[in-house]
This record gives sequence, C-alpha cells and structure tokens, in this order.
Amino acid sequence: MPVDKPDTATLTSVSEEAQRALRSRPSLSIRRRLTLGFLLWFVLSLGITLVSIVLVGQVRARFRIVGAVDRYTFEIQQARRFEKDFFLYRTNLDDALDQVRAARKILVRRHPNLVAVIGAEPARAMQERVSRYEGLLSMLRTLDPVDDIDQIRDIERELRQHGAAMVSEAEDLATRERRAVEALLRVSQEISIGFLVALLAVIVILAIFITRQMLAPLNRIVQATRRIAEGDLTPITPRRTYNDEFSELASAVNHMTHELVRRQQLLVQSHKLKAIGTLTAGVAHELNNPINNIMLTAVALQEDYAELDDHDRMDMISDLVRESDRARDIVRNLLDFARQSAVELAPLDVEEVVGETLQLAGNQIRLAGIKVRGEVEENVPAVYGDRNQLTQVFLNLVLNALDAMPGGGTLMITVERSRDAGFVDVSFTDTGVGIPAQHIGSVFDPFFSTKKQAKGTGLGLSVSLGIIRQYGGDITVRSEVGRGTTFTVSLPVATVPAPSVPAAGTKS
Amino acid sequence: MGDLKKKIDDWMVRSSFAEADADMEGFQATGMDVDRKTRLALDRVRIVRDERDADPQREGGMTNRDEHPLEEGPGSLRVMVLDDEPIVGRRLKPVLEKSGFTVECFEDPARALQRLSETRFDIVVTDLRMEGVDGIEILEHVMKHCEHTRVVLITGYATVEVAREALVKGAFDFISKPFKPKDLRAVVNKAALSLGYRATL
Repeated sequence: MPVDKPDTATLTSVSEEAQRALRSRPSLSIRRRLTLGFLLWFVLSLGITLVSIVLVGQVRARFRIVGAVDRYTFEIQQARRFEKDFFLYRTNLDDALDQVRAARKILVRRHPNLVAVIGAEPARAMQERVSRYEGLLSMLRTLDPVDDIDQIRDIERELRQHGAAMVSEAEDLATRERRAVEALLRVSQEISIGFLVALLAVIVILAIFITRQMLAPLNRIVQATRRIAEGDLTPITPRRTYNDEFSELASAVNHMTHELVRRQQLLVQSHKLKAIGTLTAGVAHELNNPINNIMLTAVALQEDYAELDDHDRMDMISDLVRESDRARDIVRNLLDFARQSAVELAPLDVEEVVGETLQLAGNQIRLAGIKVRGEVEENVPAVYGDRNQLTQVFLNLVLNALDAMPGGGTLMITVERSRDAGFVDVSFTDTGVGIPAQHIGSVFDPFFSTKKQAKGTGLGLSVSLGIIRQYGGDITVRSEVGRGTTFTVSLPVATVPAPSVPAAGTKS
Repeated sequence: MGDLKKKIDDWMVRSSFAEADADMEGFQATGMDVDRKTRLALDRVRIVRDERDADPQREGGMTNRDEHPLEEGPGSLRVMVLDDEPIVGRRLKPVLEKSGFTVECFEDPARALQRLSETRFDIVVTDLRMEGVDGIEILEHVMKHCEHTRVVLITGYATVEVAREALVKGAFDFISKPFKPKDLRAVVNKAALSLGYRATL
C-alpha cells in the first residue's frame, strides 16, 4: 500500500534515525564558536596594538635622528662661522675645531641610527667628510698664516667645499627624516581608521553569527514544538553541519515526541479496550440469538429425527450451519476490531468504514432503540487513515451519540466533500440532550466527561482527536442544548491516486 | 408495592419461586390491597408450591387445584409465539402443538399486536427485544386489553433489572435465551395451569 506519511510504527525507527543523525555530526559547541569569535577579535586588536607600538617606536627613532641631525647641522654651521672668522681675521680656529669635534661626536654616537636610516656607506662618507674637515682645520693650526699662504688658500677652498657639502647633506637628511616621520604619523592615523573599520566588521560578523547560529535553531525548535502540539509527531532532523547545544535540545525534543508516540499508542489501545468492553454486552446479547436457534434446532432434530423426512432434516441442518456462521460473524467483527494491529495508513473508502462501524455498534444501536440514517455524497474521494483507528474514532462518536439519546432518537451520518478542498467531512448528528455552551470548549480535553463515573473515561474524544490530528485532519463540534449535537470529522483526501481498496470484512 | 418489588427481586436472584411461597401468603395475610399483578405473582408461587408438593412420578399432578374447574380441553388454549427470529417460531410451533396448544407464530410485532386486537390468546410468548415494538410494549398491551392472558417473555440477556421490570409489569414468567424446547414447554404448561388447565403431557 502506498504510504507517503510515516505511520506510528515507522515513526519510531524514523525518530531513532534522526537521533543518530543529530549525534553523528562533528561536534562544535556554541561556546567554542563564541570563544573562536572573540579570540579572533582579540588577535585582531593585538595585531593592531603591536603595529602601533612598532610605528611609535619608529617615529621616536626618527625624531631622535632628526634632533641629532639638527644639532649636527647647528655644530657644522657654527664651525663654518668660526672658519669664516679665521679666514677673515685669523681668529677663532680653536672654536671651529671644538664645534667640528662636537659635530663628529654626534655622528659617532648616532652612527648605528644613521646606518639604519641612510645606510652604512653614506654614513661612513659623512663621518669621513667631518674627519677630513677636522683634519684640515688641525692642519691650519700648524701652518703659519703668512708663510704658508698658498697652502692655506688650498685648504680654504677644500674646507669651503666640505663645509657646504656637509651642511647641504645634513639639511637633506633632516628634511628626509621629517618627511619620513610625517609619513609614519599618517600611516598610524590610517591604521587607526582601518582598525575601526575592521572592528566594525568583526562586530557585524559576530552579530550575524549569533543570530544565525543561535536564533535560527531556536526558531526551528519553536516551530517544531508548535507542529508537535498540532499532532505531527515526526522527529526533528539535522539541518546544520555541526553538532552543538541546540542538537542536544533537538535530541531531547525528539525523545519527548518518541515517548508521546508510545503513550498515544497506549492510550489509543486502552481506549479501544474500553470501547470493546461496551460492545461486548451487545455482542453477548446478540450472540444468544443464533445460539438459541442452534439449540432449538438441534434439540428438535434430536427428538424428532425419526418422524422428520429428509427434506425437513436438510432444512434444519442448513439452519444449523447458517446460524453457526452468524454466531461466528458476530464474534469475528469484534475480534477483528479488538486485534492490536500495526498502524497502517492507506487510502480508505469512508462509506465502507462507516458501514463497518455501524455493524460493530449494531447491537448497541438496537438496544438503545436508535434509528440511524445515512447520507453519502456521490464519488467522495478516498481519505487517508488507518482502517482500525478510524473505525475506533467513528465508533466512539456513535457510542457517544447513543449515550446522548437515552430516550431514543435518530443518528444522522453524512459523508460529503468538505468546503476546504482536499478534505472529506463525516458528520454524526444526534437528536440528543446537547452540550451546554460552557462545556463545548472542553469536550476534547483529556479526562473531561459529563457522564457518570465508571461510564466514561473522558478520554474518548481526546484520543479520537489525537488520532485524526495525526492524519492531518480535525474534529469539530456544534451543539444546541435539547436539540442535539453534531461532531464533524474532517479527513484529508488521499493524495496518491487511490487504488480500489479491497472490501475486506464487509458483506455488501 | 415497594415491598413486593423487593421480594420479587429476591426470588429472581435466588431463582427460586418456591422460597417465595411463604412470603406470598404473608402478603395475603396482611390483607393489603392485592391487584391483578400481585394475583399473578401469587398464582405463580402457588404453582411452584404445587409442583413441589406433587408426586414427582406424575408430571403436572395437581393435588389442590380442584377449585379451578377445567373449562375446556387444553387443545383450545391459544398460544401466540412472537420472535423476530423466524427459526424460534418454526421450532416452537411443533413442540407446543404436540402439547396440545393451538399455536400462531409471528415475526413482526406490529402484526402480532394487530392480531391480538382481533382475537383472544390465552398465552403470549414474546421476545423482549425486537425492532419497532419491543416485548415490554406487547406485555403492556396485553395487560391493558386482555384480562386473563398470560405473558411469557423471552430475553436474550437475563439481568435482574429486566426480570424485575417484566415481573412488576405483570409478566407471568420469563425465560432466557438460549433455552431448550422443553424449558419453554414447562413454562407454558405452568401458565396453562395457572389458567386452570392441566397439561396433557
């Protein structure tokens, strides 16, 4: 039989499979994911901080160089001023030497920094130039200003050359370093802005992550619980790649639905037993008729055997066979219903199921003195359901109707297409006492009963609704006190092209 | 009447009319207003007592029923058998005819009621549960319209409640399905006796 909706027997295995699937995914807990997210944030911040520290260090180093170069330039310029004085007035040569020495000391002290900034070769060239300048000045001291005038002229030219070169080199260097510092400052400013942007991105990503990773599964579980409340007990299946705290929750919900399915089955079965108990009295009553016929006929055959002709004897034997058949059928109907069969969803002919129900409840209906009328729309499509369970639901509604008409009445059963496309409505209308308005909202609540204790369990309608909701259908009630009550069972039409369901167990 | 109901219940439970014998005499002794139903009950008790007192070898032997003169032969006693199971009538008719009764069988209670208003029956044997008109309605009809007719009810499922209702409403006796032909014959014979006839068998 084609089944496209899981029945309760396979629901169990489906839920076990879902549980396994939920657990078998690689585990990546939300805590770990959050930790990773915040770790990323921290690493990013750390990187930015380190870069800033390095940048600030470089800026400081450059500043130091700029300061040194400025001092050096000052010393050189002083030296040159004294040098000029010497050549004009022959004075201040020692002052010039002092200044140059101071300038050389600065170069020597800052040599490593200079090497780092302008390279080893130019640094050495600068030092050599200063040394040469100093050497030339020292030579001037040893020479006599009058005798060695030619030599002094040569030295003067060379000194001027070196002096101009040294000043321009130093000024170049200072300018270059100032530009470098400015560039570094600009970079660090840009990095701050970049960091802000990156931080914003991380925050956005984390927010999206929290929404996606936490709210989405939470929503899914909320939807699942709503679905479960409406009677769909199929388990939650994994949809994400990783196993986390929500998987635990889904697994717990699946466990709950599994238990619900099991308990629903128990409840359905126990309620069926209750219905069977009700039917048994009628069956016992009804069974006495064929037994009585058999007994009367058998005794008549026994006592009058000799006086009867062959034809009468055959007549009586036929009666015996027919009445035995009848007794067997009475019992078989009940036993077929009582048997705990696996739930099997299949396309069903509603009219046929109603017929079987009336056959089962026939004795009760006769005992109660109720008339039953039926109206069936032509060509009603097949519906989905389990034959045995659906019979149980219909039987429950029929027995309720009988209870509602203690003084006799009429039970009207109609089968028609529902106003909602895709559904078939089966209505049971009694002409009984009706349900007061304050009770009508509670009739489907478990353990709600207006019947005397021991007569009703208060579970009949609740169990019936549970069964019908599992098929995706519904039961509604309409009642007027003193006039009667209508229970309407809406059943979904079987979606597959319904095969002609074999008319098992019906005589017509 | 309440006391009587209780007593009848009691007898039904113990399935012993005989034990009710003394009680019934007690009722009469109190001189209370004894209606027809009570008289029927008393009759029943008296027959049971007679059977007990009778010589077991002589079936249906009467010792103290001389005050009830035999009106006619038992052959003239008319019995109606009403049961919607046709086999019941088919099998009981020969059995009762053999005992000397005139028997008419019905399956449809409405037709039986019609026949009851047309002609007189001495004993009506009716099923309690039937489509349309049930046995209690037949009983009520008979109690209202047929002065001396005895009603025997056949029940499918004997309960004290059904039995009590039947007896309180004036049924002569009841018999539960399944029964043997001779069980019914005995009950009908008792009814005949209460009417003053002696069974032929």
